Amino acid sequence: MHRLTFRPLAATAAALTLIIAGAVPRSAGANDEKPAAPTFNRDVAPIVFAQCAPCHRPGEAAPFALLTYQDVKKRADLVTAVTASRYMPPWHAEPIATAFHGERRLTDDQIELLRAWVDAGMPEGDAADLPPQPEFTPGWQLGQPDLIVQMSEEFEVPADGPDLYRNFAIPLGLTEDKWVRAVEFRPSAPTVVHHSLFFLDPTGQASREPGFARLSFEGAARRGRGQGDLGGGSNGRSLGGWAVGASPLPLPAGLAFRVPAGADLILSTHFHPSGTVERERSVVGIYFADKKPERSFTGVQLPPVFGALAGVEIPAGEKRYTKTDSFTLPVAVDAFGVNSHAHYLGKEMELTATLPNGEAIDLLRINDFDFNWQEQYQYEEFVRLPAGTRLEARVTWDNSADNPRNPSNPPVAVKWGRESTDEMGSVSLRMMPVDEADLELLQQSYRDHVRAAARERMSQRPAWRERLKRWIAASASNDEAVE
Amino acid sequence: MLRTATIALLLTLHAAFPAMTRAAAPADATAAPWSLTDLAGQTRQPFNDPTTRALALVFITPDCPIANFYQPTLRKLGEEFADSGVPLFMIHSDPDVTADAAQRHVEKFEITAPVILDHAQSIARRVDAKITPEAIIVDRAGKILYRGRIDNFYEALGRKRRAATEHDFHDALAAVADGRPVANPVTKALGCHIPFAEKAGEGEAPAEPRTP
Ligand code: HEC
Repeated sequence: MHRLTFRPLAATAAALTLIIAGAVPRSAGANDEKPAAPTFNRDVAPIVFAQCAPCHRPGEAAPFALLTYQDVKKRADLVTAVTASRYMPPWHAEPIATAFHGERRLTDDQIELLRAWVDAGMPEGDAADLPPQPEFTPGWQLGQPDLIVQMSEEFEVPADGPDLYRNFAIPLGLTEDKWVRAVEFRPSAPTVVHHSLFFLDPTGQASREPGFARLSFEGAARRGRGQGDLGGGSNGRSLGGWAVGASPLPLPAGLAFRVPAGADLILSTHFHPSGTVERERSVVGIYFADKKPERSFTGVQLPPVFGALAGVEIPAGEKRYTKTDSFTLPVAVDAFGVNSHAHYLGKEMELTATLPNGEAIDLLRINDFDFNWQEQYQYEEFVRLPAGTRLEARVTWDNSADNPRNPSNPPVAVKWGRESTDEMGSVSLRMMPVDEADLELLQQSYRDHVRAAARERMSQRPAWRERLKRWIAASASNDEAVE
Repeated sequence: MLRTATIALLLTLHAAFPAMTRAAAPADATAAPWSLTDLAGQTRQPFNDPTTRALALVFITPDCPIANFYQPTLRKLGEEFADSGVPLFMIHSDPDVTADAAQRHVEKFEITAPVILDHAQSIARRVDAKITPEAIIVDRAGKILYRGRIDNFYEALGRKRRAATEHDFHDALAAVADGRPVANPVTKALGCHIPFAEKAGEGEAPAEPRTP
């Protein structure tokens, strides 16, 4: 049949392409002069099993399984298109010198290999080359949690319309203070739950507030005024978060979050309608540390208070509106996690460290920020930053009509605020002082930084005095995490 | 560039083995009368009705998130244009979609338009559909009056607007129903690919996403 003639010739063509592109797959045999065309079993399956299957398998969020030759062959054109554009696997941080935990990023060679495989006619290859099917732990990934809580009722996600954000308060029922080393999140309707950020309301008010879920974009900002700003807003204390495909990750080095008795857990969840009504009732597993951890951590957010003090006022149509902030570390720290926050107009996020010896290190770089993928990035290893290291953050917003995520059409002037059409912007670094005794100095120094920013802001806007006082009080009352 | 070289090479191969291009006959929407059998087994020949101006075909796959996302919109369009002479059909051109799976999909997404199983992929080839969801309006004479997206809610894969600002398929349906020319007859459909059983026509059409 003609196909028999066709395949090897096409394979040669693909092999040529490969040689030129420099993405030569491992040779098939010892006395094989020419590099062989990539096959599914030998070359494609390892990539797909590691990089796609965690989400593309039954019961997970992604639309179809990518577990077998047939699964991938059938969608091969789409697979090459979505990998070439780097839409898949979803990952928004640019690669930096330090690897991120769970980094989902194909190398250029891997992308080229997928394409070469398709060009070669998608050969299946030798069955002996096929790696074993990836195994996934069913149920709780970190083992049986110490405490399991769930949303008090179902939330109905409509079939249609724009993405939604809702806050859900769940009483934890703790009668004593606890130390939490990990939080695991399990959506009940995985096709519509995109991500969820976890916060603490230490006062436990949120769960007593009827209709809390419907309050403004980030927590109960409006009605909560004077009641301690609940929720996912600037003053809520973070407990990390979950996004599609994320595996739960305990804090490193035995660190833990302190959770006071009576506190509520707040889930700030992002839903995307799927064409049919779905009902979500998330279940959360909480893992306690046995005792107070020996080491403490803290956070440095730049600009502070999610940019509230930075005077964010983005003119309509402005394509690159930028705010920067910097802070010099008074003590040596080990940085272990980083995340960034903005709303729909956020475009670029950057955090760099300049060490006292002049060496510059990238800590986070996002060139196409996507509100929908707000990951909690954790470094695979601690990044040591000596005393005197200068942290520099840069946030850029795009308020032009070219930004398809712009909620206003035509664009309007946008200021800092908690509603979805307002903006925020900051990058936060989590760190542990190298010497535990330095914690107080580090926190004091960051509080001074926040105060200085606030003073400057107040001198420009006297009417802000009251509001700012509250913010400073909240951001300075950080025991473990300043978020 | 490499890609072009590969395509050129493949083209040469096709020329050398003409039998391979057997299934790549150009799409000819004028050929036969339209006869569409839905999941319930009812066969329709919509152009037997003299008031039918054109057919609105939307290609879907049950596991394509974008195609599914549009079902509520498509249901509304089906209602709005129910008696306008442009009947709406949902077409499954993936041969792996069984009648059962299609029926479950109808129930889950509350699809009201007739759903057609195109296992032979002849409908997709006839109007040259490649994407799901891709909307096509074809008239009695086989002329394609509209081809492309439903609206611009998706700007790219994974990149949604807060709301659609261009309702291309709606506007095309309205124009055809009124007997007016379609102002914007070609837009870019965005979503999944129809998995063609044989890579027919690979020699002619580059595998790059097509700009229609
Ligand atoms: C972190 C989880 C995750 C990983 C890892 C992942 N995907 Fe996806 N993928 C998704 C989700 C979620 C969607 C659905 C997006 C939506 O609903 O809009 C999707 C959609 C897709 C689509 C459909 C695009 C369309 O037309 O709508 C393709 C194709 C795809 N993924 C391929 C891949 C490939 C290939 C890989 C590995 C290289 C991969 N994905 C890795 C989560 C993932």
